[in-house]
Amino acid sequence: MVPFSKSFRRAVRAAVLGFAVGALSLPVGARELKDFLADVSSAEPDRRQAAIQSADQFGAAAIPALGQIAEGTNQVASIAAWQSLRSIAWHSGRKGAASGPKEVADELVKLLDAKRGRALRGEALQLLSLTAADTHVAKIAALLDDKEVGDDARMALERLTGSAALEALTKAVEKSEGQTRLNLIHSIGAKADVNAKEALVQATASGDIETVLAGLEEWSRLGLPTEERVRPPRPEGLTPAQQNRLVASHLRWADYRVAKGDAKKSMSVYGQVALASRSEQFVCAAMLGAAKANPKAALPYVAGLLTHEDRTVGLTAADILIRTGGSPEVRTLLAEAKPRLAPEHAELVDKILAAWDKQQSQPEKK
Amino acid sequence: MKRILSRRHFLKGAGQLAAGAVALPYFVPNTVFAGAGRLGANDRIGIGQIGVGGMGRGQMDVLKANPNAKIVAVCDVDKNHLTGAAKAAGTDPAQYSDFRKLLEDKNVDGVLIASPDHWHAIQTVLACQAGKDVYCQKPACNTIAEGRAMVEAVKRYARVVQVGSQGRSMAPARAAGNYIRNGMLGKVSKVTCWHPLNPDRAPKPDSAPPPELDWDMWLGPAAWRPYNPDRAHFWFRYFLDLGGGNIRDRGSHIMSLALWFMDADNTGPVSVEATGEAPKLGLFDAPTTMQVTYEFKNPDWTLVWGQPGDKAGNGEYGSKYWGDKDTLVVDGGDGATATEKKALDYQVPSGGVDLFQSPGHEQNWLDCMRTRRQPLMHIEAGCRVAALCNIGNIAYKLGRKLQWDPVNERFVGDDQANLLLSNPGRGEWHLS
Repeated sequence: MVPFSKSFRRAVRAAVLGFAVGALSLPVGARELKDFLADVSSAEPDRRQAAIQSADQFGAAAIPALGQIAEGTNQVASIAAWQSLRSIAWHSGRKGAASGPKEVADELVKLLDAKRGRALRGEALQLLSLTAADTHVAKIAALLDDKEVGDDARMALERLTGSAALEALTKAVEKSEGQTRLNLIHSIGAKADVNAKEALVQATASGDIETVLAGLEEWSRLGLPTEERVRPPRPEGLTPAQQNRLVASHLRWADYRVAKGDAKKSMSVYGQVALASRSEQFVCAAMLGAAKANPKAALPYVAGLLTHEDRTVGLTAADILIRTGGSPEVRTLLAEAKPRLAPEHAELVDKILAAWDKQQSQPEKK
Repeated sequence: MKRILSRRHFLKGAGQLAAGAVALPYFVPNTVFAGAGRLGANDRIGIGQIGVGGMGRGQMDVLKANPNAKIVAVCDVDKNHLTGAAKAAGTDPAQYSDFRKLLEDKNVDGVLIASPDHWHAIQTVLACQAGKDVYCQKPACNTIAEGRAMVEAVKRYARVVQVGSQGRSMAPARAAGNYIRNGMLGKVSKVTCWHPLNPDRAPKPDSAPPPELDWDMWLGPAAWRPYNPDRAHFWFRYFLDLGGGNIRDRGSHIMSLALWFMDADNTGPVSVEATGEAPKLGLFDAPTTMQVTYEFKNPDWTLVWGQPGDKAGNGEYGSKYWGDKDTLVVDGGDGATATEKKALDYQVPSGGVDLFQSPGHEQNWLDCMRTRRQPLMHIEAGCRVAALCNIGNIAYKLGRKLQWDPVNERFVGDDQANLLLSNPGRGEWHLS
């Protein structure tokens, strides 16, 4: 028997082990992917279902072939491929997934090629909206002008967090027009990101009224303090629908400022809406907002609307007064006014006073 | 009309509110604004229906029989639905193919929305902004962000909005709720639901849409897909991004009762976990089988959505309430709700919890339009139960247990899951 040295034995053992691992992993792994793809294209429903359910085990490596099958003429295989692609992307954030979001996105961007069909490119963009990182944004943004999937690209960038997506949308606004421009502004606003402020302020300065209104709608969503550069349009010449959007933007802005603890300017908005608007929903919004922002100042005004010609306003005013518990000043006002009121309004005042009495008689809840 | 305050006093009060207004707005003279419909205490309520296909036509029949309501306008993107509904209404209603025109119609006091689910939020928000009250079919919304926008609009404009989970208006549901709320089961620690599987069938090929259907408008805010009859009327509900499967379709009924009975209308679970089997035959992507487990805290209880789940009653679907003293089965959960005799016979003790007795779901909405009270299935409740359905589907999609913050309505520690809390709208359609 030939005595082998220790180092020789170690080398042989390593070689044998290495061969075994190679034999087990590479060929088996390759075979499994091949089998998986065969299952996706199978005529047997159970095999297709099993493939869909196991797709996440193959991760990014399966995406190119699944893209091909998805665009094929075999409808059931195509459906299984679509669902497998979704499963891979959806599961990419799961612990133990074969591929993480970045690896999956690396493959999905390859499906954006113009030679591919609209359905596949649109699907890839949807899945990229869940997986892409800043490094993938340029390839998505490059499609914003694409006639088929430009809007899908915008939607993907709207959903993606991170500065690159916001920058891409902002840059695209500058060279866009018409409905596309409005859609981009809304996508920027939907991010509710203070870094979107400049783009939205610029939109409010546009010469196009629709762009201005879109900018105002989204700027109001941020709830930022007023500034001179944001000049709402004069309402004369606007259509009723545009006027309503203008008022709605102001009311939202005012509500958001109140929520942030800044009621002063909001009160001026509520007051102007109350003075100018005959649309009862806006008057209600002004009452509700003012009562929340500064009850002491608002309640006498709210009381004044109990007899508004629109019942909705009167009943909403009554509800506000009941909920806020009133004040001595308003109580006196109502009591003195009651004898002069029409029966239905006097009844409303009775209801309010009774509710206040009941509230006062009940011990405060701890 | 006698005023509480003089005109001068009133203007002074409002002017004080406006004092200091410099930087922001200047509004139009009040003559420019169109006043909204002025509904008197005894006026017949003008109803505009958006979406008058299957569900919408069913509700039209209910409203037609109501002497307090009149169908004054109908809207649909399918011309066949539109003309058929206009004829069926029997009131010569105005006909619209664009819902925005219906919202401008001053004869419309309330809007009944029975369009596909992906339209509910946008149409509800715009209706509120236009000063209309709303009956919105369930599920209220397709995403958490949609739900928050709806709640915000309803509150801002003081609208009356009823969500169509009409099980709450059924007498047996109220009886079951009273039984549970008054402690007859003891401490309830678990609610289990059962429901048949989602369908799966051989696919039909994509094709050009039929000439009567405006497919682009039907899709609206939803991501573009080619027309397929299995993706359109009725069948849309078995796609995760459109109808969300039966967890959202019927779950909005069954789990609505669970939230009501457990006094959880203003909260949500702290975790959600879902499993399911992908369809094997066709185009639908809602899982055929599904189990979703929600854990609630303070009080601690578990809600389990099961397809098929453990069938505990006679109904095709329903729920079982597990207390430490007893159990209770509630069959159905929608318009066909039933429960056990012990709950039906139960008399609420003096001082006990006595849930609202609805005069009927549509009637409750009409009544509230006059009183300005919030209806039984108010928007917060509607969006909370839709949230259960939506986060259940997200957990299924992502294949992992998710932690949920019910106050801020966000997932905890999972950025990817939070991306699914909203859906970007296609084209011009977005939440304003």
